[in-house]
Amino acid sequence: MARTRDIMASDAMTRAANGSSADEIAVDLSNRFWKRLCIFAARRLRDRSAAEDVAQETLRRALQALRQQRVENLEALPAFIFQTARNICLHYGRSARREEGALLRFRAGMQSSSGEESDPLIALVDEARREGVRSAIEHMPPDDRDLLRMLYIDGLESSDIARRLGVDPGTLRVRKHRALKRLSELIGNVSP
Amino acid sequence: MIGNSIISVDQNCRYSDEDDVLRAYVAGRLSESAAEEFEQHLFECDRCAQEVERAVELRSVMGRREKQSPLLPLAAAAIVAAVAISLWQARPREASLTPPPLRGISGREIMASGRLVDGVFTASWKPVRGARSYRVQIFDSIGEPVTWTETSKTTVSATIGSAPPGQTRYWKVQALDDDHIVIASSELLKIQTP
Repeated sequence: MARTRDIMASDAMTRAANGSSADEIAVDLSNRFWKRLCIFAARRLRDRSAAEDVAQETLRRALQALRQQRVENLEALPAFIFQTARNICLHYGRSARREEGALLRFRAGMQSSSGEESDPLIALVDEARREGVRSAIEHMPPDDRDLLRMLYIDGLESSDIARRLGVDPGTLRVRKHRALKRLSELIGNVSP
Repeated sequence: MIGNSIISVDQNCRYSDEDDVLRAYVAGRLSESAAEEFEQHLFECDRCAQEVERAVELRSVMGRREKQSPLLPLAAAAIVAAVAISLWQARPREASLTPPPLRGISGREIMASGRLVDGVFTASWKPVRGARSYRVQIFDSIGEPVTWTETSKTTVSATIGSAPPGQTRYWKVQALDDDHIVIASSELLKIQTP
């Protein structure tokens, strides 16, 4: 299936190609890719600090590549970033294995106080953000909360959820998008 | 947050409609090869990236149980642990492959009735064993929630006004346990007017 991707190069990206305004380009790249890079790396390395290191190094290399015009087609930028992050993670993993003994000793001494050790992604969400999300959830209609719980916490398949709610899959998708939209609006209103 | 200066939308995102893959990724339930394939897409699709970020945030909040009180007696904790272990050992083998059912959603039905008189909605229902509170919700004609309330009683009365001409409103009541989990529910009922 052919994919249509609508990419609009901004002034900042144009400046990227010209090798100027590095701060703006860095902000653009960071805004767009920082979180997904952290998620990508945290899943592999299971360590928030390591994930942030990988994200930072990936963005640095992407910025450098843009300034040196090594990314000829902006449509290729996401794939370039993905591949760069993947390579850095592999390298990071090899380096980490050299320190495996020390890491194991370190981890053995850690106290497990939550489930975050088994879910490396949720460790990426800092406490202030959690408080904002928690507050937003409390202001949501109960049906929205129940739906989000079924979708993202209980791990039910869409078909199961649709059956439980007595709706067709299309209606479920609409409800999900509305619930996520309401949540985003509430987070925007309650976040510090 | 997605930057404003570069907008990338995969118009034919195959994961937006079949979002089980996205949610399995967030839950760490995809195989390595499937996860990597999805991640490649994730870097190209801002919509999926936003949903993944939001899902991670939700899991960081909703996935956490309330913290245990440090004053919980050790003996009680031991009993709870023993019961939990015995239940876990006695579970059907396939239970580990499927998520636990939502308690009561399809099992226990609340018998309820309600009516709207002069814009005031009054409802009552039969008590449910184990219920700590009841949640009453009002919906518009397309199933969007209009308002809701919670009560420890088995009756409720609230001014909700009349439905817009030609539209019907619906309601339901759910019973919640101590953990605020739904343990029983009425059917979706049409709001009767005299």
